[in-house]
Amino acid sequence: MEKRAILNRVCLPVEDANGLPNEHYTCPSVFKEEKDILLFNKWSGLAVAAEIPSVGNAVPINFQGTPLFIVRTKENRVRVFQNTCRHRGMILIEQAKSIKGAIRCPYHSWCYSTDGHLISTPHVGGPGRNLHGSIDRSNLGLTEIRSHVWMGVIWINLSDTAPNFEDSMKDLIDRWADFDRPLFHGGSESSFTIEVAANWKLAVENYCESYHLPWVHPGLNTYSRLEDHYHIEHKNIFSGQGTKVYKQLEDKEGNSFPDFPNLNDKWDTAAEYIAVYPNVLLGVHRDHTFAIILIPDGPEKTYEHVHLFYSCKNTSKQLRRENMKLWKNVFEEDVPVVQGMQKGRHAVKFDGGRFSPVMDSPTHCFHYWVASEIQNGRKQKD
Amino acid sequence: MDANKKTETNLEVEILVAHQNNDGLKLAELYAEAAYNSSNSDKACFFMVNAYTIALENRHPDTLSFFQFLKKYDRES
Repeated sequence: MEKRAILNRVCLPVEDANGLPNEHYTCPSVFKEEKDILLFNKWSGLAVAAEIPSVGNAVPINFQGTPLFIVRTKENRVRVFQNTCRHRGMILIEQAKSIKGAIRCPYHSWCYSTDGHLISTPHVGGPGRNLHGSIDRSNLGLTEIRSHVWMGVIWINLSDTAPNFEDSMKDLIDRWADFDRPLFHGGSESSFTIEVAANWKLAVENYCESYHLPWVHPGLNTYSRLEDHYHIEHKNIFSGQGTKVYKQLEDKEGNSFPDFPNLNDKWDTAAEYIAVYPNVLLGVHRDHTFAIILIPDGPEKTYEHVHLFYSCKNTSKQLRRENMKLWKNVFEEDVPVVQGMQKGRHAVKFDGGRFSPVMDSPTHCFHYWVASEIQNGRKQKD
Repeated sequence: MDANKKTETNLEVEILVAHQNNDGLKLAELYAEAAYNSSNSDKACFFMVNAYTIALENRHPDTLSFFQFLKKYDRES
């Protein structure tokens, strides 16, 4: 069957559809195609703003082969730039640092302000001359990458073609308006990375559905049963699951994390877990949120960078540790099945699989998005 | 030995040490000193460009005066 027909089948209603074919999980050329169409053309998660907590903090990040850096400007804004000098393309920032004044290129010392303006071009007109008629500094600022901070995550649109973040994500921002407030990263007790030998999409797919919970997370099953969950689906933007029986973590004295203020009553017992396409997995609860940024490293390896956030600065360190341990355990329980699905994608006769029409629709929602975006991307290329 | 020449050599050594120590504030000051000690404006501006560049990077309190020095000779704007 030709590629278009196969992807058309993915886009059928869930009861008739097949999943994405193997090449979307194993093939380097499809991986590259998806990188452009799904990651670069959309709003992708890059990092968390907590990685640059103070003015002048700058961190280089290689995003799918593109050298970038994130910086907190003198005006306390998070901005993202291509990590290259406008002169000879030299990498500007090799390692995380605190910029005191200007960003100075280590090669010929062209200097940029933290908001990207080219402010000095030493000896550009000859020794002792910083000026030359053909060097217009106003056109030679750092190349900025569109970015937006929401739920503690720095989102970027590398292609510069996506609608504004607030427009792209409006329905999710509205859905979670209660959590659109300052979030406090829990520091070293609240971040960890899991390396998974699997395509990044399998991590998304596994996150979307609650079908696997009784088998893969038996610990959760004691209080959060399958029937306590509901699907969340928003075609082309996000999908996931919610639970109606979230139970707060408590220490031995019965203390829990403080709630976010002014929450709707729904959140007394509800929690929601949503995969925001393409690569960010978010979770919200009355007393904490988390973000998982999936960073693909080729078609068959993914880094899951996990960050937990709280309603205020001064939460109990011990409780944060316990919460991180709890979530780390849950996410690590997913690793064998995600990796197992990856191995299964090398079975030459696997046809993408069939979905449970009742339980798998959030996952199918993601497959539909991938297939339709790839089809559109290929059409535009033809 | 020429006293002035000795000073220049000492300054060169100090500049090299400051480079090795990655001491930006000191480096900016030494380059500025070299500029002020220079016998002609071209030589002075060469050193002052270095002083100003490193001052910019390190937020040296004299950055503005280094800038004004270069601006006076139409070497910066």
